[in-house]
Amino acid sequence: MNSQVLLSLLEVLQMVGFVAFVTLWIEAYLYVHFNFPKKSWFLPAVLSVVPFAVLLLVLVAVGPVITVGQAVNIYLYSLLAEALLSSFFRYKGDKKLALPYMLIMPGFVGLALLIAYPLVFEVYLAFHDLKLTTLKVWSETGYLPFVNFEHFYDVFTKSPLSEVSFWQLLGRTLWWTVVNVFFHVAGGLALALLLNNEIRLRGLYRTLLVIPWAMPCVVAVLAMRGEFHSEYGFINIMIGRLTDAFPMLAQLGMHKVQWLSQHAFLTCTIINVWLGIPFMMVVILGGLQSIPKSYYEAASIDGASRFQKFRHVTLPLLRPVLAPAVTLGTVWTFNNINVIYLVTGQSGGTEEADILVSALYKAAFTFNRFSYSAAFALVIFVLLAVISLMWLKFSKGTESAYD
Amino acid sequence: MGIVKKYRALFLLLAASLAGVACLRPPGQKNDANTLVVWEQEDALVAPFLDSILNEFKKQPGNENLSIQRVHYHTEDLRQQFQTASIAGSPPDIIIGPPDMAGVFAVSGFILPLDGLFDFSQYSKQALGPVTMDGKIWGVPTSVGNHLMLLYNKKLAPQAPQSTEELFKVCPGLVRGKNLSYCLAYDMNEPYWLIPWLTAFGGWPLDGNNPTLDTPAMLAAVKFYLELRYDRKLVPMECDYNCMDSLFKEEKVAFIINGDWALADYRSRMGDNLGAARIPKMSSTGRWPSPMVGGKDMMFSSKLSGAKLETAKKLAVFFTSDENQLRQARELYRIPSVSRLAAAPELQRDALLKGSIEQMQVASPMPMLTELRAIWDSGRHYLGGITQKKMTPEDGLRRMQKDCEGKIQEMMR
Repeated sequence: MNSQVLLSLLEVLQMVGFVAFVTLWIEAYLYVHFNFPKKSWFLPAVLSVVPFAVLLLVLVAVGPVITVGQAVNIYLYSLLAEALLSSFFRYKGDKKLALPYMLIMPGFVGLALLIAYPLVFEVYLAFHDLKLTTLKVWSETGYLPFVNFEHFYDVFTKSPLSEVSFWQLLGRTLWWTVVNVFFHVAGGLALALLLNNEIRLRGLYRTLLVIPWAMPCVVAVLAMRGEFHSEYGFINIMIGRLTDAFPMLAQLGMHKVQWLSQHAFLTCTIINVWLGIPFMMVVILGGLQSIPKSYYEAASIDGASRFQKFRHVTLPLLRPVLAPAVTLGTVWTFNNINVIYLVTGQSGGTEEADILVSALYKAAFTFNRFSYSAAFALVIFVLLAVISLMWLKFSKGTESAYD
Repeated sequence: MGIVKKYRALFLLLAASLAGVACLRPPGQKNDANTLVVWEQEDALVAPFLDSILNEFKKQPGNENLSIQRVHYHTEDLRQQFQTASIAGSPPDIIIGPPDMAGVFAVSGFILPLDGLFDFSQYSKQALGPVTMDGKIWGVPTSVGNHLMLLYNKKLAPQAPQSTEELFKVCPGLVRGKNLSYCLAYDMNEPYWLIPWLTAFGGWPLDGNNPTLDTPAMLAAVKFYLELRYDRKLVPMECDYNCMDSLFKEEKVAFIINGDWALADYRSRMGDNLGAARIPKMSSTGRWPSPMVGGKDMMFSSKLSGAKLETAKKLAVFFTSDENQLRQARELYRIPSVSRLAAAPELQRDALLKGSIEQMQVASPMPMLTELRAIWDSGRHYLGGITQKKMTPEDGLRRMQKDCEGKIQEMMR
């Protein structure tokens, strides 16, 4: 093991130690505040200790780079926050809730830092103007011009790329999501139904079918991209061989296709369908195996056909598994940047395969339109939230099959 | 709650020990002034050379405690990561990359202007032009180049064609006789590859700070592209960089238009069979193509100051010393950025380097302008559309110009 590896391990250990240290502080804070709020020493003690502790924690986390003014600010803000919180614990705190709060608080703080802070910052960016020419002033002074709703207006009126509009992208994203999720579920269901039978070498088939999912996405997509190359890819080579062997096929219109440049969206869809089926298959197979055999036996006694058993036993009992999986699949597909970026990102001349998120990524990191992209991301976030809620309500996915 | 009460002392001990771990700093980072972080975008063949330069530098007197961390990124990732790290306030100390990054970084305030820190009079104009903006110099050139040239496999084609007419004449016979897939390969969708042909028709993508993409010269250049691809069928369809690179390495094409960065790799595979020459003269205009020239530059983060800046300066001077520049030329076939070394006999003796130098000497310095970014972005999109015949050349160029102007306006408003 070389020294670089040891250093990296030490850094990981340091990070773990830091997280554990913060967690212990949170737990100690809650323990004291839930247990001793009525004591006479409580207020003076916490007000003199906690603000200093917060300051110390900030110094440990970011190093001694903050100025005296910033340190004073941190101290004063934490003093104010502590005064409010300790008053709350003193007059409204309920000791019975101590344990639940102690259990959820580390996770809550972690989520707040990882999700809430970036979200708040994104909202801030969306209403200000951060781009190449304002970066310098912003990093030196912290000042960004306030632009009101201008970026939100631009999202709907200006192309995030060259020509494709927001509405075209939205339509294409919805189509992309519907087509992909449909084929993921249909393919996954078909394969799961086949594998749920007592067939020989079932384990082997299952392993082979799961490979696209188990492979790193980047590797799988780049390999498939190669297979769609117009001259050296497997698909066109096969088409060429077939039309050579059976000239009739050529007469019927079968010919080599420039998949990546002329049919980029179709190519991305085929690759994503291939990538997404194994996940659905595994989820549905799990659901199928949890359905008790007695239901099918009862249905057989009632004289139900195979289709009727599928329609009235299998599908309703798969719903609790399928609905969250479809919701997840919808969100993932809606937000799937990997396939589109890896297939089309490197070749010029096509915006035809871009969906909302890939356009967002390019707007932010290729064209450096940071604030515009923040507004764009918020619009996508709202859209996705609405679609997911509507789907959950429509599919009753949060209800149990037995309700 | 009972557990907490019972093991209160243990909890306190655990908290104290974790605090201790949290406050630890890895040994290599005890003194930041002794650690230089260098990000680069070189390919794998260049890494051993870079490491040897950095290791040699660490052995220099006064650098005994110096630690240098080299981190590799792909070109586009380097640009994005450096931007992100600079915004977050923790950029690397030095980046080594092509100068077209410098314009964006300079405008954003992420890199230092270096005037007064170095003796720039020793560097060639070709090397300094691409890192000069608003009268200031933003990078130390470690090599001059990044220019496109015609490379050929002597096993397949003993001579490089001197003109497009000659290219058209020799290609059909070569493809048939040597059973090649195509005669010539290059990345037609990438606007950087269009520049030499554009100059052969008397054009340039910028007039001052304004894009000039919808011009008669541009139209002639893209029509020439279409002629190569569709009428004469000399270049492959759907061929990006990796594709053209593979075709040349696998001896499926006789000629490739590629940059000096690929010379070492091709030479290691093809030995003396690799030839380098100027891109053929455009027979219809009588002009020689003039590709853009830049090179590789060492850029300093704007956070760099004090003792670390001094160390970084010494590293740049060490990298561009005569000895290291000549070694770089020998091992990587890169042209020294120090002007007095261009005529060094050992460079002139090597046919490959000689061909590269001949092309470089007639190349045009890449302007250090943020507008160039918009030209590449718009150019890539519409050039792809035109070469795939999704739009006519006239319509495509009109839209390219409009899109580019829009992008620049948005960037600068």
